[in-house]
Amino acid sequence: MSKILVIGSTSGIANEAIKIWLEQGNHIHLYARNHDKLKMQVADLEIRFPGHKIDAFTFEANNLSKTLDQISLDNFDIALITVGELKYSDELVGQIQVSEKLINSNIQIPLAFAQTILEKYKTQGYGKLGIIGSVAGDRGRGKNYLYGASKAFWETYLEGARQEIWKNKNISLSLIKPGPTNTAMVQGRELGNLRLAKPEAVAKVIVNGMERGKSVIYAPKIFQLIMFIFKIMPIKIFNRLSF
Amino acid sequence: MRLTSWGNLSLDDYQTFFYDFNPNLLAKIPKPVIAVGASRSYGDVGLNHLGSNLLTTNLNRFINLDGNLVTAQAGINFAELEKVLNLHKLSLPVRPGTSYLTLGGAVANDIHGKNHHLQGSFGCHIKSMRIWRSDSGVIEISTQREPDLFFATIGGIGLTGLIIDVTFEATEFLGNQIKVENLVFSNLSEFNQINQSSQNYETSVSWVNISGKKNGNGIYSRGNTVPEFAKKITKAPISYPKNLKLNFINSTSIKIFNNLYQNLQKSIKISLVPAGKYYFPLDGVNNWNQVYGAKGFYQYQSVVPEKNAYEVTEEMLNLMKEEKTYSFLTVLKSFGDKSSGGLLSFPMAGLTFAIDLQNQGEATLKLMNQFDQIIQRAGGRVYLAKDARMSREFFESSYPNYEKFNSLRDPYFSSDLSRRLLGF
Repeated sequence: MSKILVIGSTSGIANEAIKIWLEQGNHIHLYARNHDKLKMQVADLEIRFPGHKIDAFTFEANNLSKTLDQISLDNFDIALITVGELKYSDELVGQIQVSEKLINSNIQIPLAFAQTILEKYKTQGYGKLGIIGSVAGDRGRGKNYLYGASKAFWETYLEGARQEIWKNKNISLSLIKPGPTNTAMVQGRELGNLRLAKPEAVAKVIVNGMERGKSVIYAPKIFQLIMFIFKIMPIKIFNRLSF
Repeated sequence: MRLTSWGNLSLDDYQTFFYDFNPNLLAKIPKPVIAVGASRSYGDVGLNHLGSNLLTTNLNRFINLDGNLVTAQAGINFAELEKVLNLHKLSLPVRPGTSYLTLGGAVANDIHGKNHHLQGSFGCHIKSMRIWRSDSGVIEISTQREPDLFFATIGGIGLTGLIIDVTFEATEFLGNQIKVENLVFSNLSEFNQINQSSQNYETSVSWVNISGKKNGNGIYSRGNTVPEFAKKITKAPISYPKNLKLNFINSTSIKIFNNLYQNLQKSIKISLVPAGKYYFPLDGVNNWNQVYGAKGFYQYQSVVPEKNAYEVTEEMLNLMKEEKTYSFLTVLKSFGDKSSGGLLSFPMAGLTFAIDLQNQGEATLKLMNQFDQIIQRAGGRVYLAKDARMSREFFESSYPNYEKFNSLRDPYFSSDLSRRLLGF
């Protein structure tokens, strides 16, 4: 039995990963911003997994110190950070505050947790950390480049952190890059014929990848190939793509 | 986004939105709206060429469990419900032939199952619901609060508002094995005799072999749960390849299949069948609807009152013989008199008949129109969850509550079916 922290637990992908971890008999600590959503999540999980132990905590985005202190007290084995939000470029025109909030949700808040957890792992000597990035971080697209840039942040951050701890084989840091997934993030958007992955399928890939300590996890796996093609595509061709 | 329903009759691009839990979203998206669950209905009841199709399968949380009262969100599917309820020694009160439908779809179509003669339809077990209405936001409805709206929503094909969550009474979980008896009948009066003596069995259903030499022969299966807890066999169902646009259905293949199936079933007199396999025969092969090829298929399901039920069914079987109709899914089942009170609910005390018909254009439509005439004369009706073509005149004569129902609708919601049969 592992002790697992899930930060931003009410996200669609996190919720499915939690179900897999509970099924395996692990002890789960949930952290989320929205009290009502968290309460609803716990009620659902307690009915689905009678007798399992689930601890749940809300945190305040602008006052994390208490939560971070709490996290650094206890040892744990796995942590998944899924805090984040999606905004398209056209939603940000003339909206500096909305842009700043996006950076806050996708970098500043998860960074506070990531740094605390990383320090913790260094002292306890083991642990697995997964952070949700995005395929949008692999290549900037006109439609959502601030979102993409905020996710790309994690590529370099985790690369550096891995180099720092390279001697310790018991710590793994996974950057998770989900493709478009059917979660609240796409709620209310008309998506045309974009095919969405199921959150339960994405979660399965994430849980397995983290278990194996993979550095980069594409979910669904096909995105490893798709993004490889986009990454090697010459910029002149890439810029002409209208997606 | 490409959507279709189970009959594959109207694969098309629809304006589609994903919904989780945000009533404000409903104000923003194009009207009219129809909620879409698992798209396991056969016709156009859950499709909307105008406005928005709202995909609700992310609305899939359990809200509360209090004794045998279960509250869950509308997008959860029956397979998940059953799995989790079993952990609490509870079971679904009513199950249709597939477990992949959503709870919201079960309410909106007031679905029935093989235990209708004892338990009625799913609507009989609903205690309350929360729905979103464009005029009043999220409201709770039950037999005490807004009873008119409550009974309009049961079987209300998603037109009275968006169903958010549902509280229903689960039954006690008795075991996961069914002791099934297969009895052969060679005509409908034999069916009737067996049926009369089977009223105390928990579940019953019959398969009619329309490829046989005699008309109206088939297998009557009835069963009871046995208090045995077999270890769950989690065998993944096989899948029919989704894009294989080949059509294997023809009179010869069906004749061979039907006669093989009959001989196989005949030879199994009594057997223990896992509950999942027994209740959800349609889940044995994923995408089985694709076997009908690109043109899709209709399912015609009708019900007629007890009186004259056998003459009417005989007439339909004779008509099929004349028209050289072939089908491997032909089902007969007697309904009991327990009613949910849903204004547009399908079941009534009597005999229900269901048949899958490959879409062969005009010929198939003509046959179903002839069926309609027989059903209309006998005072029966056709199931909206299966329909894609009935006439407005037949609908109005067979669903007499339609005017009251229309007055209780939410103007934000309509579907291809509602515009075809209810005017808007």
